[in-house]
Amino acid sequence: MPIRINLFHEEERALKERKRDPLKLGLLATLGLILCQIIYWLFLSGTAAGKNSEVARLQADWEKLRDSTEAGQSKLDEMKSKLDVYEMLHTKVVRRHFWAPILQQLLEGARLDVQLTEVNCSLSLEGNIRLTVHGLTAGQEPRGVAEYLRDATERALKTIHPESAARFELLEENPQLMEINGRRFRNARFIIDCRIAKPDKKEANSEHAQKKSQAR
Amino acid sequence: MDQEKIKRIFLALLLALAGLYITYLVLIEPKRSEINRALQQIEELQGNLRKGRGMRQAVETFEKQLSERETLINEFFANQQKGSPLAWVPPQIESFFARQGLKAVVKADGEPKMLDATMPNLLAYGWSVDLVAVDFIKLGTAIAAFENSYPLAQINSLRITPSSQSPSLQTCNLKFTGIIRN
Repeated sequence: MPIRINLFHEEERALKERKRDPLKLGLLATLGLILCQIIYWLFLSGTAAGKNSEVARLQADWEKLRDSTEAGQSKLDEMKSKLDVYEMLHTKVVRRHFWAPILQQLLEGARLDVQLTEVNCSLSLEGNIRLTVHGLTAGQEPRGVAEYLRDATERALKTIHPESAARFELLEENPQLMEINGRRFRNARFIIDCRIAKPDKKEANSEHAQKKSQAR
Repeated sequence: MDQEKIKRIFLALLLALAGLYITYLVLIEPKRSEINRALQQIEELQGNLRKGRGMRQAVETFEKQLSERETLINEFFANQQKGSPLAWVPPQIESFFARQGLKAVVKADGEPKMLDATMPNLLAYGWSVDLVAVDFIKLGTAIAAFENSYPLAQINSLRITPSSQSPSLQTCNLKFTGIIRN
């Protein structure tokens, strides 16, 4: 193997040293990183442009809708108060008390040996119903006839309002006999007091309040 | 490693950091904050749009509900006439009972009361109806017809007593409250 002598090794070494200069290498790496950042910036610019155009589109949509939304809010408030009034009226109509069925039940309970002389019906502001029936009964057992009427009235009223009660305010037998169709009968005078606590008054109010809060 | 080389490495690192920081500050950061701002605006606008569309839908639903109720309520007020209630209610009620075959005398009973402070146009008027010499069954039928024909009327009291004209007939005093829209 021949012996080779490199006479320029010092120069080559100096050249290599220059090439491996850390400052130069560092600057090159920095430039590379800055280039990466520029690429990232381009990507971000594209994203930002997309988002900005979406903002512009949404803004245009909102501009179109804004006036109708503001007007809609005031219209909605107005309609809600109107609807509350209507609901209140509707509840009043639906929950009002009907007297005709009570009169019918009373008539059905009154047999031929009963004479009703006075009927008073009243409805209090709280929704309580009171019915007072005055009358005369005749027969072998006039008290029994009156009791039959009271019981029939109570049962009939319970079908309309479950919390109904009918009681005698007065039941007294007349010492004098009564003449009917030429025959003389024992007779009794009675006053039946019926009280009907209307249970749905509070419910109606709470239902109305519930509807009001739901609408809000 | 000589002193000179260490200095150069340090200088290279310093320059790299400075360069990266400057490019980050000048290029990346403004874009990132621009994107964040846009995202915030998008969220806000989308919320507004959702609210607006919801409002439109709510208005449509309410309009439908209101028109249904309005039709119903207008039916309740179908019997109402223009002018002072004192002028038209008594004749209307009297002719109603006349159609049922009963003679009635209608009078105002007390002052009109406001139904609710929020509804100044709705007033509750009290009326008293006297029916003289009526048959009990006919009276019951007439009361049933009255309750069905006047949904805004509530009979508050009813007094049936024997008639002085005939033992088989009754006299009735009926008091009711009617809601009237001004």
